[in-house]
Amino acid sequence: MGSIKKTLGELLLLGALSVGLAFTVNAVRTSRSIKVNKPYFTPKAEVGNGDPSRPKTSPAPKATVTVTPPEGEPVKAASAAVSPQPSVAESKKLEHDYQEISFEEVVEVFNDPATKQGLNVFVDARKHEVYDEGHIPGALHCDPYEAEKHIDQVLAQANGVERVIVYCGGGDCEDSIFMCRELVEAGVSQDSIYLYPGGFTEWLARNMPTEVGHEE
Amino acid sequence: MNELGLIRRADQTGIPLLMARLILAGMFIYMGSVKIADPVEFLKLVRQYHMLPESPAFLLNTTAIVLPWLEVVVGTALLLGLHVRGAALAATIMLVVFTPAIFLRALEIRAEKGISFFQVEFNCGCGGGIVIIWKKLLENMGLVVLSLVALLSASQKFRPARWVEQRWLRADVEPQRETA
Repeated sequence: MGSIKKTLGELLLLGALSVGLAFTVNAVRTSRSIKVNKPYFTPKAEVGNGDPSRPKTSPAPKATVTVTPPEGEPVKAASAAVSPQPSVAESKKLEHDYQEISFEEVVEVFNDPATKQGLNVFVDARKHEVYDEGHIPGALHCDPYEAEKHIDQVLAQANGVERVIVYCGGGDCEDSIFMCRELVEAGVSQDSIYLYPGGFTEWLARNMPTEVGHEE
Repeated sequence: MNELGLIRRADQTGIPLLMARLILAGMFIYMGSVKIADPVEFLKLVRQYHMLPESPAFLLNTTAIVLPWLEVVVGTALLLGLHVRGAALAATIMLVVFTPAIFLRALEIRAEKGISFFQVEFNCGCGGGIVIIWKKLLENMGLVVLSLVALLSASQKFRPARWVEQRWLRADVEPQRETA
């Protein structure tokens, strides 16, 4: 009996030490810390300024789109495609309140001269290591789990623009949904936010150009 | 000599406990450290098991903050031979809770993808990235056996931190039983 009590006492001591260490380190770490009370996995924004009755479909593309792959040879987006990876094709439909945008529409926006003038903005919601390895050219980085670090930079460019296209890894990745929520809560109009479900996986699979490194 | 006697003799050498402690310590410290390096990633992986409600958020978030440190603390205690039984009990509880959870998640994925159970692979949040699950389950069952060895062993040998228990923490350390 005494041995059981001692073992349980040791268990509690080790547990208490773990809790103390865990919260201390979590409080002082500068990246990837978890906020204890933050509901990270809520797709809906608490302060929405979009119209909830709005249909989730996006307008049809207006024109044939051409893209320039890394090799420099212009090709049409529709014919440039190789089959998306199975993870994209087989991924289950994720539930959210944001309007979706297809690959073809994303390409259209990507090639739109207005994008180069800053009237359309791409936001990459993956963690910074993978963003640095490659992202859609010109995309801003903002990890929804550390949104406070980059949200000001994103807001400076995203407020009042025509379209803010948010993506992550595609497939079952939900980080782009949570990034949309962060943008809405930060005051970006939900009407201007477009979720690209195919994400960077589809972008790569379709042999589209990418950019490496981090934005300054 | 009967089987129980053989087990006792083997335990008295301290070797089974030492082996169990070293293997468990290595696994737990490694697995915990990988998770501590990116707690947010671990938070997402814990969520996939649906073992905890997402609301209120602090339940899931606190688990993701504390669990990796519990693994590291338990692993370190086993390595140093400090509070071995308490650490072994913690290791056993973690393994007994998470191994069935991994099995159930694997069944879910098997049903979703319509593949054989032996083909199921995913990042179970165990610290090793995407793994083949049936191998992971076998590995965990081996770890459960080792944690039970550490929990039930009466040996006090090879415990460099035993003096900490005796002098600093004034723990009621059991007398050596392995002396003939």
